[in-house]
Amino acid sequence: MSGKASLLAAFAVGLALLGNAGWWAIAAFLVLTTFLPRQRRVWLTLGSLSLLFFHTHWPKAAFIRDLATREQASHFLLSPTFQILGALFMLGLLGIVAHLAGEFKKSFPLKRPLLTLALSYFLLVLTACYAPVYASGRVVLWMVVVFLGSYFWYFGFTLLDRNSKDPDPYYLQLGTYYPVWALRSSPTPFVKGAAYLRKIQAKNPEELAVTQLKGLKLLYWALVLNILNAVFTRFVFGPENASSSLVVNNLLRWTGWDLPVHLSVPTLSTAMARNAAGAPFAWYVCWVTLIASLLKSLLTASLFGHPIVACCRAAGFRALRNTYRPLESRTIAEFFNRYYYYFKEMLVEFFFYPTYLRYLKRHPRLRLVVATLAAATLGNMMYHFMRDIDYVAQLGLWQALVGFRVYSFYALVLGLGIAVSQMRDRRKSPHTPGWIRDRLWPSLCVGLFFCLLQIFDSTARTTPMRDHFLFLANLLPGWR
Amino acid sequence: MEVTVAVADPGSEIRTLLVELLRKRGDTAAFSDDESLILSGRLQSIDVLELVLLLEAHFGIDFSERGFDQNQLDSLRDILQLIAEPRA
Repeated sequence: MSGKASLLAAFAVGLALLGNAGWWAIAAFLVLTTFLPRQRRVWLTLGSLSLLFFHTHWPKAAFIRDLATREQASHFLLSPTFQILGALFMLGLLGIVAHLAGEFKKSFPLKRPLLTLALSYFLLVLTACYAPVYASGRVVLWMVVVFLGSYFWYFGFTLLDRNSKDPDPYYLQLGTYYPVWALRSSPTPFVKGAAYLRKIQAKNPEELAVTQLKGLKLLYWALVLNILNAVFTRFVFGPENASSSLVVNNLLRWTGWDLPVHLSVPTLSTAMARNAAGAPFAWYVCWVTLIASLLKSLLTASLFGHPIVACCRAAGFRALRNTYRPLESRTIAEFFNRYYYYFKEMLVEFFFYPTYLRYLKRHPRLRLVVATLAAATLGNMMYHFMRDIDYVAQLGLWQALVGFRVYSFYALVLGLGIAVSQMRDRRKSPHTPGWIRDRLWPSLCVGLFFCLLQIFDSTARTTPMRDHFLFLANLLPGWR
Repeated sequence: MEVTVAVADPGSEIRTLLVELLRKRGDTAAFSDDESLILSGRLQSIDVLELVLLLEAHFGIDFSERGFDQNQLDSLRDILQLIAEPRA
């Protein structure tokens, strides 16, 4: 009893030191899942629903507020009451769809519910763009788009659970929609859906204890990385571009001490802006920027995923890490798997497997390439287009689509890279002799690929493609 | 027409494939029939495809018809259960 309490106290302190604003909500949830573990999934649902009331970080809140102001819509639309009602209405509606999808499994259009859902979503976007609806009606229409988009991928896992032998009822599925441990932070389902949670939940007190200790260990590892990230970004990019860390910020304030030197390497956005303005940095500075940016993005991904997975483990679910030693990857596909595991899993479950299992059965190599492009390119594009749907309202559908070409190029190169990597992976022998040939050289090549690829990793809609290619060219010595 | 190859000992054939897939990942540790291989991260989605190919070719399982759940391929026992289930 006292051991469990100490563990939870240590966990709450770790969350607070990481600057997690909802540490108290997570801590309260963990108390329930630790001391009443049999109802773990029920607590998860209650926790997820409670967050609607107590931790209302609404998706696209700024966009909805601006739209409401422009359209001179009723102020009631922006009230928490209306937003909560809106979310509950959407969850109810999705519940009905889930029920129908279970009842009419074999009949069109519910035989392919994900496809139907995606088509419905884009039809709704078209309606929001072009229907002659104004003022409050227009705001409500866009709110429906935003709410449906924010639950889309979570609900997708509910639909996939229909294929399980013993799927969870809808009220338990609700616990996986923005679960407590993710605090409404991402439209990517952390950690996947109900089928996965059923499989990974601790079955007995021993498993629970081990899982919770692993969670605590991961949380404190995240704290170490948080400090490392703050020091690294301060040293490399300078204080003005340093990542924030509660521990480091307070330490600097209390002691009055600071790093004596910093390199002031330009950030990728600064380097690209200078390049576009015709005053580029030297080629070697651009390379340093790229390498530093990649390292920073790896740290950022770890810092985002580790606390979420740690909380999930503390709640008794043996979830895998979201980011796991990506620099050790020997192939592009492996890096993608290790860098952002749950995003990759989502693409695999929704796009890769369905494409692979349905089409081109007589063409094994083409089958693999097409399935990979469906996931890493098409699925990836769809996810980001939906995530940034406010661009459509701001720029119009056509401009939002045209402006998406930079990210589309990124996704295409990523998809092709993964496809080639997977085909080579299937052919090759397990290991080549020698550490340099077997480990170092492949890892460096993978690192180089992702270093260069991040030049195009931009979902902004206003930068011309030319600027990205110019930056790429500027990496060559003597280009200018 | 789909051609299905008769398999005398499914368990042994699938275990051989799993061992080979794990070996390719540099994982030579032994595993029990119940041990999680996919959800534990020891095998990846590309490895699942090898399993799918084997199940399609040798056991006549058509996942596009019966629906696909990665969890049903998580351990050797899960896969054998899947093979033993009546076709959808």
